[in-house]
Amino acid sequence: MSAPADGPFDRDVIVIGGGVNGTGVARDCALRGLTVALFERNDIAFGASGNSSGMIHGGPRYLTNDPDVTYSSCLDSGHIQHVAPHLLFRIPFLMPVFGSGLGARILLNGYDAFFSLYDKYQPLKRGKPHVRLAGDDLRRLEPGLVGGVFGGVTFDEWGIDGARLCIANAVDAVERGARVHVHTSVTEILRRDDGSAYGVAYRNRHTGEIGRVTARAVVNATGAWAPITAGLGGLERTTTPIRPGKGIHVFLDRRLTNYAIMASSIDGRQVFLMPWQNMSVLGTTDDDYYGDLDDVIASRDEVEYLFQAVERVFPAVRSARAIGTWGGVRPTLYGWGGNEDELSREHRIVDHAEHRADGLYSMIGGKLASYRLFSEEMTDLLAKRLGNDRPCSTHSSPLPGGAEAVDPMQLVLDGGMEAVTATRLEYRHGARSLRVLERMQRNPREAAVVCPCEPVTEAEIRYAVEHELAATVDDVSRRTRLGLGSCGGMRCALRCGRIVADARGLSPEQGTKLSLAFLNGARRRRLSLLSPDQARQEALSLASLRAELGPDGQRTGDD
Amino acid sequence: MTEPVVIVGGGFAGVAAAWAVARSGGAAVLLTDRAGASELYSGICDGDAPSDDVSALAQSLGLVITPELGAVATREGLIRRVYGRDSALLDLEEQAGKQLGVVDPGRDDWDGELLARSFSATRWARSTNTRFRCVALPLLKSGAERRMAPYDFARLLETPERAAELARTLAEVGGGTDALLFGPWLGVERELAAQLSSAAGRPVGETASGPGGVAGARFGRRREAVLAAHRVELRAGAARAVEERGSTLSVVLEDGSALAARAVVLAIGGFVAGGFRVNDGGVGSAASASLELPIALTLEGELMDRATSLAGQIARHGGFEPLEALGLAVDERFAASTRLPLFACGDAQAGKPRTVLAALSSGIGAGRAAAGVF
Ligand SMILES: Cc1cc2nc3c(=O)[nH]c(=O)nc-3n(C[C@H](O)[C@H](O)[C@H](O)COP(=O)(O)OP(=O)(O)OC[C@H]3O[C@@H](n4cnc5c(N)ncnc54)[C@H](O)[C@@H]3O)c2cc1C
Ligand SMILES: Cc1cc2nc3c(=O)[nH]c(=O)nc-3n(C[C@H](O)[C@H](O)[C@H](O)COP(=O)(O)OP(=O)(O)OC[C@H]3O[C@@H](n4cnc5c(N)ncnc54)[C@H](O)[C@@H]3O)c2cc1C
Repeated sequence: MSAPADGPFDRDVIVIGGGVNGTGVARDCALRGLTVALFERNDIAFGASGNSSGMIHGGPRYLTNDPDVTYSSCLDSGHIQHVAPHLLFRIPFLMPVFGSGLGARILLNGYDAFFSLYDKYQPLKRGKPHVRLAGDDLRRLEPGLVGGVFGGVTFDEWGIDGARLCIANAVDAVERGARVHVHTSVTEILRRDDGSAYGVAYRNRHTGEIGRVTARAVVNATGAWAPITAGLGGLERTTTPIRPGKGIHVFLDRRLTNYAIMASSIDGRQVFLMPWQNMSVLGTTDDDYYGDLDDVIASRDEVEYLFQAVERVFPAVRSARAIGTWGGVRPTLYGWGGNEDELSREHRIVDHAEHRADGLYSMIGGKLASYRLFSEEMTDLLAKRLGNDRPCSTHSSPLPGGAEAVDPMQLVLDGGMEAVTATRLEYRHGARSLRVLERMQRNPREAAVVCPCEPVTEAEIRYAVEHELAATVDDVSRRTRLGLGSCGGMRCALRCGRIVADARGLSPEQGTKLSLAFLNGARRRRLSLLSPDQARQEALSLASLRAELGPDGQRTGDD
Repeated sequence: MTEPVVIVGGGFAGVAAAWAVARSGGAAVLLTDRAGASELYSGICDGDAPSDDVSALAQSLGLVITPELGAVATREGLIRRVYGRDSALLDLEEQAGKQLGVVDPGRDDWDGELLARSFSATRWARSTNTRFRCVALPLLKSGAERRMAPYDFARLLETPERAAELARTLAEVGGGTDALLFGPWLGVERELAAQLSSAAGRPVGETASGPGGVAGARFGRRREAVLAAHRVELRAGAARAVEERGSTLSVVLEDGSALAARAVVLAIGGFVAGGFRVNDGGVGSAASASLELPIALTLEGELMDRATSLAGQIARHGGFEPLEALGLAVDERFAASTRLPLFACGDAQAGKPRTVLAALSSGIGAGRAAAGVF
């Protein structure tokens, strides 16, 4: 099969990678009227974007060297809030200072002065000014803090569900005409004799289907995979200089604090204990990583590193049960400190024309918090190349569900949902929760709660399959957090597989396979968490799975 | 010698051991702590084709054993081939080739339409040409009944008024179906499935239970009857240690008192029951039994002591299966290695399948061997 190298082209732009940057560019292109195809080898948000700490911070660390970056970070955080207000939640941070005497006082004064500066930018992102607190006040706020707190400051940041952010961008792009292919790997970047890029070859990892798509420009937005992707076009990995940094998080079965609390690790890094809905999260680590990017698993050492750091500040962290981990790999710019421009941005667009590959671009580095800006810069370049002069509107056009507010109470009254179900549904879908509600009203069966831990209803699972590009139980979990609660999917994964199979017209046995793939993956991410309670839970979930499938059923899915 | 055989643990294995001791004419005391796997199980009995002894005991525990493989339905829309089941579970093998009704009362955890589609599409149903269809049965009296735990719903349905009402309804609905399949809601204290079958004039039964559902609760109830019938003394409480006292053993209880035993059967279950546990989440995470024993745990033939890392075994295995392989390696062949009248059975045994039929047959073996120790 040969694809025409000199047009007509199938699309204006091909985007490789369905993380926040890839979906961000696809959406920006679609908004400006460019035709796009996006390829994602796993699922949307499978990589760093669905596994980050999810903080849309305002860049306080640049405050002293480069306040412009703080300004633009805060401004952009404000933009994201504007287009997807439902997805953001406030994270009040608490930075305790330990010790006594002059040293502690100087440190606290330093924090106080620093965050007074940061306060000036807070209004850009609707953040609250910091508060300086004495040790007693601090312990009143968080009684679980260890003794010997000298004082501290609070400051305000925003959190987001990174996976939902990517889904929202992808869904909006699709609704504006983009073609988004999930579970489809780009296997080659097609180049002409003069080296310029004109398309990609792909393979669907579920169906095995292969094909080629041509375009006038190709964007490599594959995060930590960027050097591998560059290789698919025959480019050296040094053309996309990133340093892959693995980071993990641990989630705990209960909410321990009201504030996110900062603590110092054994090697002096800052880690945190953060409340998250009715659970808590420990994060995060940063280590060079050259393992399998499709299979990033927290190790026991990393888990213990986080516990030890937080325990010194908040001993009760050990009283909670660790029920899951997640890990991702940051696409950190390699040696970014060397270049002033890169330092200020942490992200860079590589125009591979400089490597004889005109028409191919790589987006490297970046943060979740700056995805919109990074995507805008990338799309500006593409628009210019393609002669499109429509302005960027991603700072003002609402993402799906972000246009108007819905009161979860309405879902309770109109849909008979329980309050928690309604609140979580509204958090994930904003105004589009009404579409899920509509399904339940049309077919009351779909109001059934399938995952009681989160909770997630059958209607939301079907909605994810029909409208949010979900094809597997894993995909549903990434969109809804189904199966990530304290029972580890024991109560819902099989049923979810049955529903996904039914929605996709697959057999019950195929549905069981989707469930098992999810359960095995989730279990692997828990292998490093062997506490007394968790061991009992794991044994229980092995037994209950066998009860459903029979002693040999894990292999066959049926007798 | 007047000391009894002391059995620690009252799940399927412990009851089987006590039953075997009593049948051999010995005295047995059964000591049990909290609910174990047997109180949480599904109602399905997996394992090899059972012996006559196992079948006899199983029957008195309200189980039905079929020498040929039977078939039962699970809550998740699958069909399993089995040798044994709680008598309340519907035997599908008898209904092969017929039309079954999947009852749908409108509960959150149960989608009759989807289940009927799912059962019909299974390999078993296709190969036997058995059809399932959803039979709506408006049984719920309040929104709370939609969401209450299956166990609580079962307790509700077996109250006299509700049971009578259900029997009346069943006489009228589901025309054209040869049998009716319910979720795991057909009673704990009463044999509701049997009552409803006669009221409906055709077989009525359950799917398997989820963890902590009615099947395990029914086991708990029927166990009492079996132990009483065989005059086994049942004691609530946890054992803290088994110690050597000359030629006999002594079982030390939590409260410090001790029971002299001519033999001890350890039927303490696995991690689910708390028979074994991980000691802490820290370095290595060693495992130990719920009581001090003069013998060590083993995993795949290796001794596991306090310095052995269970976390390491799990990491090497790449899954939690070592939790189920770990156990005690003293079976009815009388522990030659330990020279102690000490036996293990059921989930407490190292490297044995975690199934009901295995628990029953190893329990009978251990009980018999213990009774033979004089
Ligand atoms: C532990 C951790 C914590 C973080 N915390 C924060 C934070 O709090 N705030 C913040 O702003 N940022 C944070 N970040 C950084 C942020 O998550 C990343 O910078 C950002 O998500 C990168 O997005 P991306 O789209 O470039 O890459 P990714 O999200 O990794 O997406 C790349 C995608 O490309 C796909 N892909 C790869 N190869 C191919 C191929 N051949 N064909 C098709 N698809 C392919 C992959 O499957 C993947 O989905 C954190 C990162 C980590 C790892
Ligand atoms: C959710 C689930 C579903 C299952 N489904 C199936 C199935 O479909 N098919 C199948 O064949 N099997 C199934 N099983 C497995 C089956 O239930 C077990 O293999 C069987 O019940 C084991 O019986 P047991 O007597 O060895 O242990 P248990 O029933 O666990 O009994 C052990 C008892 O010992 C007690 N104990 C422990 N330590 C002490 C102490 N120090 N002092 C006093 N008492 C103590 C415990 O409290 C407990 O009561 C399932 C198990 C579970 C958990």
